[in-house]
Amino acid sequence: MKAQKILNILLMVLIILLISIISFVGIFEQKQAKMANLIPDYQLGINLKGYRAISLEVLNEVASDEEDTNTTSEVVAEETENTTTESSNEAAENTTNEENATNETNETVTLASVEDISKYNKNASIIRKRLKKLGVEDYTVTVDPNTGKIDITLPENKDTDTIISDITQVGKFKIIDSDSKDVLMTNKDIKSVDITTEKHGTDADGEPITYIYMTINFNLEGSSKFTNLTKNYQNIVPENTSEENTENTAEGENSETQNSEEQASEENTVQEETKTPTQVTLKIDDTDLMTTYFTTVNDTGSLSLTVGNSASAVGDFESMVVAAENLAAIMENDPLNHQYDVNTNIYVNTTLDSNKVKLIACIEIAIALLIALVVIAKFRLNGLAATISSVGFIGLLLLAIRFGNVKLSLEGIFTIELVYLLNMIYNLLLLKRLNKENLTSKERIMAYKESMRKYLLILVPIAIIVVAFTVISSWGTLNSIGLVLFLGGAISSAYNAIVSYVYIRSTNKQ
Amino acid sequence: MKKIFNNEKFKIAAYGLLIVIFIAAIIVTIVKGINVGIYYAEGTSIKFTVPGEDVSVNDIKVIADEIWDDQYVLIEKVELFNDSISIKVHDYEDDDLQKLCDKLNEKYGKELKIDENFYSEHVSNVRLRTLILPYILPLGISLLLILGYYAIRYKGTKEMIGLIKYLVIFEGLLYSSLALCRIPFGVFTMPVALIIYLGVIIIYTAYNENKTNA
Repeated sequence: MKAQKILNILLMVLIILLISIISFVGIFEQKQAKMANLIPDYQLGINLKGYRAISLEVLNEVASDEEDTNTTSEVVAEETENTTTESSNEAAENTTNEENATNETNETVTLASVEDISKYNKNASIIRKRLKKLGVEDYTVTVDPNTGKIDITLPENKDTDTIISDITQVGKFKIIDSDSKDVLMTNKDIKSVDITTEKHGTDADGEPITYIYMTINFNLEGSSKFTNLTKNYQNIVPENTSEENTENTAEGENSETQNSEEQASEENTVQEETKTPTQVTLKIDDTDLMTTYFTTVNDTGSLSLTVGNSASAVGDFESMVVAAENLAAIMENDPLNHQYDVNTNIYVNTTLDSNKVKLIACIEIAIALLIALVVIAKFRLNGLAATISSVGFIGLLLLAIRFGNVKLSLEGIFTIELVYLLNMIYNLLLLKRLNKENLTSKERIMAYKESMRKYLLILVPIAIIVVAFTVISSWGTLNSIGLVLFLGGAISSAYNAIVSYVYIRSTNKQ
Repeated sequence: MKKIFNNEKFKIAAYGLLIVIFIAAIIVTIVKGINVGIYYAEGTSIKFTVPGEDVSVNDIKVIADEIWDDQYVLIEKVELFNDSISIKVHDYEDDDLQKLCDKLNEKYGKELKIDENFYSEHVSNVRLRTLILPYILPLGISLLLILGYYAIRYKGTKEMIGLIKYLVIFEGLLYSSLALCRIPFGVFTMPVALIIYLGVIIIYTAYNENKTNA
């Protein structure tokens, strides 16, 4: 019986040793004349990996679109003026400012500056909103109030270049009458834009086709405008046209299917309709996105468009989805007040190089050793067992971090130390109870259960923090903390439950 | 030791000292502001490339210290070829670029030219509120939920108040050290603040659980 208990303890120590070796050293195999580690490497977060730094300089001011929502012919003329004489409008604005100012020239400069500063700050705010909509994490956007120059830092990944080229667009979205060019709706009428993908149908090779849908949800004012738009630009399809047309009108108000079938029905009706349908054009920054018309009144307050599919994708389909998402981020927010030029666009290596990270790791190991020494000094043999157990726990945690592809930021590395401390708290709870003299086996098991219960209650606030940092926030540094805490809490509960139970059973005197 | 900490007079003196420190920190912040480190501060960024050389940050640091010996300089490697460096400084004079060019030519035996190999631009400061803003909602929500848990678990407000008290004390000490000791607000500041937040919650919860018999 005693031999069995000794064997159990030895086996546990060997398992802990094995886990530690695998975690801290690795498992190597020969691959193409060199040794490769089978254990995946650590994934590094932005403050350890490097980032992209972009600076944007102001090219020119974009005319405001406050009058764009009028539908009179005056606006058509004004629209033409806006697109061709933006600089003269700016000069006129400045002249008006000067006329309104007092005789002192200082005040004139101040008026213009305050307005410009406000516009520059608004531009920075719009870019932040666009980045937030795209789910970009760990960015900074700063603006120089004197020159309007914007400096952005972003994580470096495969989408960075696409994001940079898209978020810096002015982003003036318009729905205009295709003939008269009247501006009917703008960004101000949009509440949100969602991108979804759906599979239906198959292509020539029998592969399912994935469609990309853009759903533009209008705000209250925009919904009412859109309903009127679909009434005013409703094209009534005659009865003696083809079956497809009949099918189209009977389809109902789902404009998704309308768009895909309208194109086909359009071909059929051209021959038989004597007048061309009144159409609207969707534009972004004077580039036409698409031209369409409506066959029924749409009062849902949403417009669904098909913006691409996998069968017709020229390049990578995923890039099409990213481009659509970028477009959604642009349309959902106000347009920029100025046009910007990308002045610098460089990759910056982290200031925290490998030497500094190693220094941080050494400091953490030193703190852990200090805690371990205190525990051993206080609890002696039991303290030593707890320390050996903690080493195995850290080894297991680091393996979980590597296999789980957890992005380790600087905060994540500090959190590993906290998780070690958390694990030690369990050991202290248990050792304090076991330290009493002449405990029976039953009392020792009770002490183990009580310690485990207390520990799980301590983990409740940790669980709350994990949810707040991983679910509520998309910030990389918080996600890193949350995931390390989650893995630490889960592994320490299971690990300590097994290891401490085996240890207690093996060290029971009876 | 425990007797000293439990002594009422000691507690009053300690809280009094903390209040004085916090008020002093607030006054210094209003008058002088927080000392923002070069990483986030306004300054001039100089980027240069030494073609064909593996440029070491330590070597550039030596050169930068000779030119800007009275201020802290941020040196980072940029791009992917190990031949480009970015230097950021607070105070920049017109002839600093020429001095840098001359020293680099001397070190690497090159004929670098300011027009071809160097680029400098003014970099505006990162506002501290934009750094802190992403953390407010998750920290706020987690703290509220934890306080709610405390109210249910310990059936009272004593532990809730205790948690808020210790969070204020330790985060306040961090803030005071930044304000009074003029420690620069840099890359490590937010991580340390977060770890203090987590550490206080973990240790205080463990302390309360240990004290509770239920």
